[in-house]
Amino acid sequence: MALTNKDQGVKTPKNKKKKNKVEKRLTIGTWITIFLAWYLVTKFELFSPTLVPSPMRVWNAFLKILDKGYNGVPLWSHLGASFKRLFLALFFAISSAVPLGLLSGYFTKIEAVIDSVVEFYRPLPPLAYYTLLILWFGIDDKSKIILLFLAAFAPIYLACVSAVRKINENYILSAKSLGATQKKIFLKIVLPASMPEIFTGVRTAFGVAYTTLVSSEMVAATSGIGWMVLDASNFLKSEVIFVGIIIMGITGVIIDFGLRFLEEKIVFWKGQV
Amino acid sequence: MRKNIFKKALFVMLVTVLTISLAACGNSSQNQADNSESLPDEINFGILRVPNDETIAMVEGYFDDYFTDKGIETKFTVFDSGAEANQALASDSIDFATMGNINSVTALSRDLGVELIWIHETLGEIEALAVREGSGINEVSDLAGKRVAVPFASTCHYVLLNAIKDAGIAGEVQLLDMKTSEIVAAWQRGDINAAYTWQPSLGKLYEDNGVPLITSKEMAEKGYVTANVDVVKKDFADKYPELVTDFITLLAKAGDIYRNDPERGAEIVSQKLSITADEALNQMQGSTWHTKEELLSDRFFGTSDNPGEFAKIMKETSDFLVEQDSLDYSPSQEEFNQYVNPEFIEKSLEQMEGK
Repeated sequence: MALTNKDQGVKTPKNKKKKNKVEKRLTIGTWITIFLAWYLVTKFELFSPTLVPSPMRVWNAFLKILDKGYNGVPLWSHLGASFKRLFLALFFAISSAVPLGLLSGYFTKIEAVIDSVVEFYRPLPPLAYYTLLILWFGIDDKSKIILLFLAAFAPIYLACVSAVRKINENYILSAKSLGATQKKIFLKIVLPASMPEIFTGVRTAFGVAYTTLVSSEMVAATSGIGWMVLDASNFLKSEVIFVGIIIMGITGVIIDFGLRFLEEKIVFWKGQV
Repeated sequence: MRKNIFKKALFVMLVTVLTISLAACGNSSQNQADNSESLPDEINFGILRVPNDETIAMVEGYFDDYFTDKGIETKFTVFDSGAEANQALASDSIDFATMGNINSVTALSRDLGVELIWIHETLGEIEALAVREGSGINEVSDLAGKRVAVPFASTCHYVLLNAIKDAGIAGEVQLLDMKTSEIVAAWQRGDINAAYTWQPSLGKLYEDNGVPLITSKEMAEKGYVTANVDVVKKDFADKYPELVTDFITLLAKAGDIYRNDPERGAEIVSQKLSITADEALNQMQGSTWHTKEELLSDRFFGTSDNPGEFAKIMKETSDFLVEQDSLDYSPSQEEFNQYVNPEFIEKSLEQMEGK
């Protein structure tokens, strides 16, 4: 339980503590170096502020957006619009990909139906088929959510399939020999045993959907953090682009942290089996 | 554990190296600029897929003949809008760019080191606000609460914002940012009530039950003049002024083909844009092409000593963009007078008279 996913099965808790100290410093050092490099590059005006805005300019742009919003829309509703799309898509992806993935892993016939389709569309760049989604579902949130849903579906589905495959067959056979029904085997053995990998799948899915968010807001949006960055690029407002990217980066880390926290609470046995 | 430290140290080093090499890049391009006199190996043009003098000059091979003779390679990159061309200018990827004058205001405000040297055409009926026939939208104020699509940061966007403002419904219209092709799709699906766009997408809306509510011609008469312009990197113009002058001469020569024989001009651009000659002619008649003499009049560039109206239009546009919060900074009138530079048109004219 004390183990996080990152060092699962590799390090003992003892050297982890030691590691934390040195590595934390290195991480902090890295960020200080990045900020220092950024500051110095702008301080000596190596590039025009349009190419690399100074930290102060970015900070002021952030304060302005916080105060007045962007394009007359407050920052929180840009974030809200984006996260509404993102989480609705993730919700639908989880509630469809988990059952389908587990069933595919369990019954080869179901896998035969679904797997090739997922494998076909999974590597496609979302922008390639986004125009079709717009033609079919319109310019509103529906097409955006479907795009994010498709992006999130595949990683969860694949994680579930592989999770079921990895289950020690002896568990299932023993349960069967003890007279467990299919339903019981599924709920008591397959589902819990797959939980750790499902979580990994959800976290990957979140990452993929998050990277698709900007693309999804490229068309006919007037709100959303991704749209804000795109609109700013029309007028070369690089400080706003920086603000948008930093906000997206930080919220991404926070959400991933939240998912990891949930994972540790729900799948507390992970790494100990 | 040691491996991890090694990794992070490597990362720090990488960042440092990257920073230094980036800085070095900045310097090397400056070095290039010092090394003058000789001709460039290649010239990069950013163009729009529209029927204009540049398109005629390209099809007729004017640039190929002229620049290739001098041993210069020409490269043309098509941009969907001037906003993309600006990004290419900022990164020093192109030397010349065609764009709407809205984007050229951005280029000055964001200090991209360019100057405005030519007006390809002033925009009239080629850009218009289309509404569905019988939709009950009979004047601009009827658009309150409706959904209107427009490519943001374009000349259309600027004109539309002013039309809405004049109608007293600013903030009551739901504006949607779309590319021109997306506008056509959204129109056909019935997702939008109106759209301000340019040809050829505008024609597709007309085919599908669309009628113009206002056009950029009417709005230009009210003082909201928009145009497609050409900008050049200042470094380039300082180094090779004669190439810039000759570029203008070639554009004007291509414009003459259209002025003397519109059908022939339409025929030429129709090949390049894969539309029929009739469509091309129809689109070209929606904008006005100007001769060098016209451009040097008070209405546009004026002369080097006496700046014309266009610099004032640009300043008004810029102030409006700041008011809309699209730009942070509106350059002064003096800066715009410098920016809208008649020098190369004047030189081109002198050369012609000298011959």
